[in-house]
Amino acid sequence: MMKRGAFKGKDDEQLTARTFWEPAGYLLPFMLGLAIFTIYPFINVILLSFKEGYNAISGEFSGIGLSNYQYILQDANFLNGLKNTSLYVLYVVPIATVLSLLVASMLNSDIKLKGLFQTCYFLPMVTSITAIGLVWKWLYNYDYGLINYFLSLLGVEAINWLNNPVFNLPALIIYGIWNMIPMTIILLLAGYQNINPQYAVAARVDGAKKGTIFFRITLPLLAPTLGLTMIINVIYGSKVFTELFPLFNGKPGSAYSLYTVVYYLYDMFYVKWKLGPAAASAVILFLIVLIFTILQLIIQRKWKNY
Amino acid sequence: MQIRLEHITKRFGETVAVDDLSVTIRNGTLTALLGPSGCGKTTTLNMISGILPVTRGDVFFDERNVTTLPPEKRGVGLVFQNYALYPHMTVLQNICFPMELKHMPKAARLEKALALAEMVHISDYLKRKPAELSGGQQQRVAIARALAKDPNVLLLDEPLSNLDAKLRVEMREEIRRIQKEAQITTIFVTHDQEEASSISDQIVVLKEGKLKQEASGREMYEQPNCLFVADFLGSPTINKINCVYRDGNVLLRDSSASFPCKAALPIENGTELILAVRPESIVPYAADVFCSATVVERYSLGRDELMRLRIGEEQYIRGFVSGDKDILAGDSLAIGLKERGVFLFHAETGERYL
Repeated sequence: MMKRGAFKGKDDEQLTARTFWEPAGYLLPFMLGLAIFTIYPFINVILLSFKEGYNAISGEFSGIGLSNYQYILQDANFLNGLKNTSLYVLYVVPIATVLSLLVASMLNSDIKLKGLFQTCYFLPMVTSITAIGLVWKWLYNYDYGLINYFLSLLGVEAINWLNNPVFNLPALIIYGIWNMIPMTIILLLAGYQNINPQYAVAARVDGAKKGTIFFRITLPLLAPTLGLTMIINVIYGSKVFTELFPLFNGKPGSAYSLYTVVYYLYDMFYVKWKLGPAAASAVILFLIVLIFTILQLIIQRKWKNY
Repeated sequence: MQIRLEHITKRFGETVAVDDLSVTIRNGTLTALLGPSGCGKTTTLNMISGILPVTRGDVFFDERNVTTLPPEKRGVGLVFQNYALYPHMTVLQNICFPMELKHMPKAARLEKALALAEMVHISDYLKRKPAELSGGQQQRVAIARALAKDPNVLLLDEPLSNLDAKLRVEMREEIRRIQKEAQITTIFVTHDQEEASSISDQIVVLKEGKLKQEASGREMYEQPNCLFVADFLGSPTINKINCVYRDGNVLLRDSSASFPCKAALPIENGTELILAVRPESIVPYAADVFCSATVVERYSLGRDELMRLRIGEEQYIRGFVSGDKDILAGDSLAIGLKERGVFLFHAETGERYL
């Protein structure tokens, strides 16, 4: 028999030195890491964004105010970054979600070589985004790229993806979609695992056809997972940077017209050494992501229908 | 609708789940597919519904061969073991779903759903989601949904196994009532012999994918055709007394007792037999003494009292405490056997001789 008191109910829980310090000891390493690498920088960035005339070397600043925010909101590059990031998220997330749903439902059915297909779709996840970016750079190559080759087979004239500013954003979006799909598939497959296959059998016996089963049974049951993947993808997409960097040799597009919020942040911080505006742009990005997350949480709660 | 299975066999790779099963289920009856787990009863049900294709053999609904028809074209109502109610739909939506798929007009399907809800007593819960219902209520909804499309056959897969003991008795009577009210041929799968005998018109006993016996519950209890059926039906279980056959006599292994057979059995001397005796057929202090036994213990089952007896060294049997005399542990009794509820089987093949 279990020793009495080893697992006490909530009601007779008592805070003693043992029940407090021992669990606290276990938590300490993680908490310490979290405090040093997440919480402290987070607070520091917020403070930094309000410091005016901040000197990174001496740590001195001339005052507290909103001048960093004023600066970036008047900076064409930042506004351009906001616009590009929004467009990127707006295109990439829905398209990637629909494509992932398609692939996930196929992977979830009984197909031959299921394992092989699964591996293929998940492979990008274990490869460095920068390395993949370099491959895509070649795919997009005007003269030798595979994409233009296939387009030429369809009779479409070669597109200068990486050097014509008009096509820079589409190039980034297509690559972004490709990049987002594997993780989304994994999450959706996990969602599929939680759906008892008996519902589909029951619907079939009830006389439902495959399409009806998908739209009336599977999709509603998958809705909570779909909501979750979309939140994750909006957050991930808002931080687009590692996709952009290798594609244009570290430049924000061929004509410096493809700034994203994180690229702007990087540019301000590492290249221009304007730490205050960099911090302000980080805070604004944080707020945007926060708003989206709250919005989607509300929607997701409405979607969770059982 | 009459359902006829003709020599159906189901193989999963090397395993034979159902082996050459031929059964006829009469129109309008409630039939139980009974057997221990792994006997192929759910597989059989799934082959009737069409969820599983048969490996060999034919399934007939009346005179129509439905062997190759998919489930949606067979017109079967199916109640799953875990009910499989669509969790995102309300009770009403669940019941309406099959009718919606048949493109029944909205007013008609609403009317029908309400009538069905009335019949299974769930009218008060129509707006609820399945998660907000108890097991018994979910069960009723599942039955209503299965009946919604006017099926030819109602199939229930272990319908009571997810309910607690008290509700189980209540729900099995409900299933019987609903089945009679809907006048629908119904087959249900169960591993509980009491459940099977209490509500069904006909029981089909399966073992290792093979048909053992097909009869009414009463008939099966009183005239089991093999040791397996005799052993499977009845609670407390039938007593199995080890015997040996010798020169027209049946000798008890653990005692000097024996009895003559009316006719010579077609078996060799020394063949091992099982004398199977229902507990209620053991009579203490009988005038016609069969053998003597020692009372090991007695215990109560509520209404009845049981006693555990020992014959010889290690042959234990159970019987009901009856008669005027008080029976105590340690007593030595002379016991007799009634004529009913006493059978003789071959120990290995289970074949019945008496």
